[in-house]
Amino acid sequence: MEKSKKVILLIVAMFLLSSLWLSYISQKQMNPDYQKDWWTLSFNSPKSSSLDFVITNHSKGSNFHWQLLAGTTSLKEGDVSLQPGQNKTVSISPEVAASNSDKKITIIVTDAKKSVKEIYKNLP
Amino acid sequence: MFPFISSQFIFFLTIGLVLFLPGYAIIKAIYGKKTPYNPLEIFLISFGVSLVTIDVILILLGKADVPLTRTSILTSLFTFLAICLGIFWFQKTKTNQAVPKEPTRLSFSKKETALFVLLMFLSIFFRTAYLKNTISPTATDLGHHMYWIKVISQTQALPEYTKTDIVKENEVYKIGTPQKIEDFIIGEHLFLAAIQIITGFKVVSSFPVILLYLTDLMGLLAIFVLTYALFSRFAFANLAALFSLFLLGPLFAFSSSQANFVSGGVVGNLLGNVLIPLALYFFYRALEEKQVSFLVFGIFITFGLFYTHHLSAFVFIFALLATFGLLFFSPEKALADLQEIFRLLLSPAVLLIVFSTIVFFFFVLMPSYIQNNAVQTVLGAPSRSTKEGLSITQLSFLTGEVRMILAILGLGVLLFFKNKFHRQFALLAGWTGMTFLMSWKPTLVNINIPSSRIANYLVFPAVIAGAFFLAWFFQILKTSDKKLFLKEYWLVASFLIILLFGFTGGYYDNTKSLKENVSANSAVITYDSAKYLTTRIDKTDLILKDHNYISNDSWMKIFFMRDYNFPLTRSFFFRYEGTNREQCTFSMISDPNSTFGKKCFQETGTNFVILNPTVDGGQFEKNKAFWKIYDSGSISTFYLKQ
Repeated sequence: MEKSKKVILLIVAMFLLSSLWLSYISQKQMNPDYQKDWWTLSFNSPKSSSLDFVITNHSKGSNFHWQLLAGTTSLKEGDVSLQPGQNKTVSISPEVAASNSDKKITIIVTDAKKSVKEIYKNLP
Repeated sequence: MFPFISSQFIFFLTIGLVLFLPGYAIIKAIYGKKTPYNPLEIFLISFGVSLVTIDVILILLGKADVPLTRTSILTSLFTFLAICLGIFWFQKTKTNQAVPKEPTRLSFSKKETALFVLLMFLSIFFRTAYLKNTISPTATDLGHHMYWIKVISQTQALPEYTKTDIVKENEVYKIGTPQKIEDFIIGEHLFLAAIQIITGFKVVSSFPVILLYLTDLMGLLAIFVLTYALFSRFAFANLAALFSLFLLGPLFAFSSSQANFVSGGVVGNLLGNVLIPLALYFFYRALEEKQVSFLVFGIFITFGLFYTHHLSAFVFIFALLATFGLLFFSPEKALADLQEIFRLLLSPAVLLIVFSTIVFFFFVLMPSYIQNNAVQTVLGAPSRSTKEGLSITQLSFLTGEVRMILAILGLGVLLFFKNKFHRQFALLAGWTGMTFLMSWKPTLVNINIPSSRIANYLVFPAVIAGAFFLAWFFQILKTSDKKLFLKEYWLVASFLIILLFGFTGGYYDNTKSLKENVSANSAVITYDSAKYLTTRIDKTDLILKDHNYISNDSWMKIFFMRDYNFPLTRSFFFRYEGTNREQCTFSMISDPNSTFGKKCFQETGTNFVILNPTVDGGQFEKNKAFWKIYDSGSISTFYLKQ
């Protein structure tokens, strides 16, 4: 094969190897669970009075403690165990919302490292 | 693992099909077996010509109302390749050409070949090292561009570059009608869209960065090939080309206009960095070797440049005009060149390509920035300080001090020996000088463009001029009279000092620019906050996000695909100062409880706000009307319950 063509093939091969490796690590980097430590707390239905909430885990831990408050009064609490990549919807009875109108309902979740997240709705 | 490998195989096959085969087929159709190019030149030209060809094919498909799908794009490409193959076969059988020997152009010795391979390896190595933390789809500019790729993919049609914004009518704020966006040019998106549609890859993935990485490498080769072409008649041509690769490849590998632009998604600039030197290469060879085919290719590439990046086209035109003017430093030679140019222009092939491009321009599709009269906005006195020109220090920093010094030396030598290097001087001095002038004193050339953007173009002609100086200097050393012993040692010493200065400067810049943190870590969290809302909102809901304290937010629009400007954005604070810009997006996050803030919420219908709670959460938590519905720690989403 002519020298120039060999050189071109070599450059193409170097680029291919480089790109393959970069694509591979990008796939890992964009994986929400790979070498990451975060989790989220959110309401399942953000616009309605429903208090069902979702914990989504992408952290190294798996244990979460949740607490539901009406104003400053704790109404309910519980524990959730989630592996990385899992999420869980905790259902709250509609009666809780109905019997606590005109109050701020807060969901506080704490993970094993004592990191806290909270969401709330000021019920009409 | 197998799905990954198979997807990558399809990806690289598609790159070959879209970005190399069309150009290669055209070369073979025009020249047959005997081409006036070395295989490396064919490799580069195939890429550049394919970039323009795929744009033309997709524009023709789109304008003919043919849906842009995998089937239609592949069918068009294969039809095109078949036509070119037919022409090639017809030529082959007609002329009975013998297989030509490899041309003596770009013929390197073993050592030179090894050095070339080493320089390319280092160029690829440093870029890989930089991109490993920035390869994921996170950059703001790239997010904006990839929105349009997804629009093309979803609508299966050419994009209409418009966006909606908050407008004030009769003291009432509302979402206005779609307005045209001047900053996007179709050529920036079509090749990306073609590859995305054929492969089916997710838009939010690394494939666009990989394609820009490839474009950056082809830009290196374009400068390498152009440098060789400029000095091909001289003994130091190979050396000059290798020095250009040395100054551009491994040194300053991460600076703006190189790997920084790759990860930043500065698509148009990177494409311009290939097409500008390629066009100059063809024009130069047309004049030098008096061959019509070079001029045809030069016009084709220039035509493509106008559909790819307005700023690059603008810089190119100015550089070309300056080059033309400087040819007249040697009036007799200039007149001979002028005669030759006219002879070439009047040839049937050139007239045909010029006619075709004019018909395409006026009757198929005009570039958006010309349709929208955006050209007049870039002419005139600078409208703000960032367009008033950079200092020499700033220009040196952007170009790289060592490259700047070498370029000055190179241009000095070219000027001194301008009779010997008549055309080379005109081209390099014109290109460098005009770009320098546009970025240093834009008022002198009556342009109104951010000076740092123009300055990014200075690197390339500076590298060629600097490479010429080093090669010419080295040639002097090699052929110097050995009796001048002491003088030779002084020359060698100063040469080594220049190289050392170059190494340390270039690698210092590399180490300074390396990113330590993986950009994807914050991006994943940002994208999650967008994904959360995509399934929980309807068409009446309006979202506002912050750009100042949320990373990678420009990609959020790709999850919603409602409008280029959805979600609305609180932009950088300086953009709201002393302008006619609407202030609602600023106040709704900065001061949501003010009378004006509340007015904006009510009148625009904005009811979701995505922000960084540690900076902006406080003002929302004070207001009972806002519910906090999502919390990831670094991002919170608030809902305004009406």
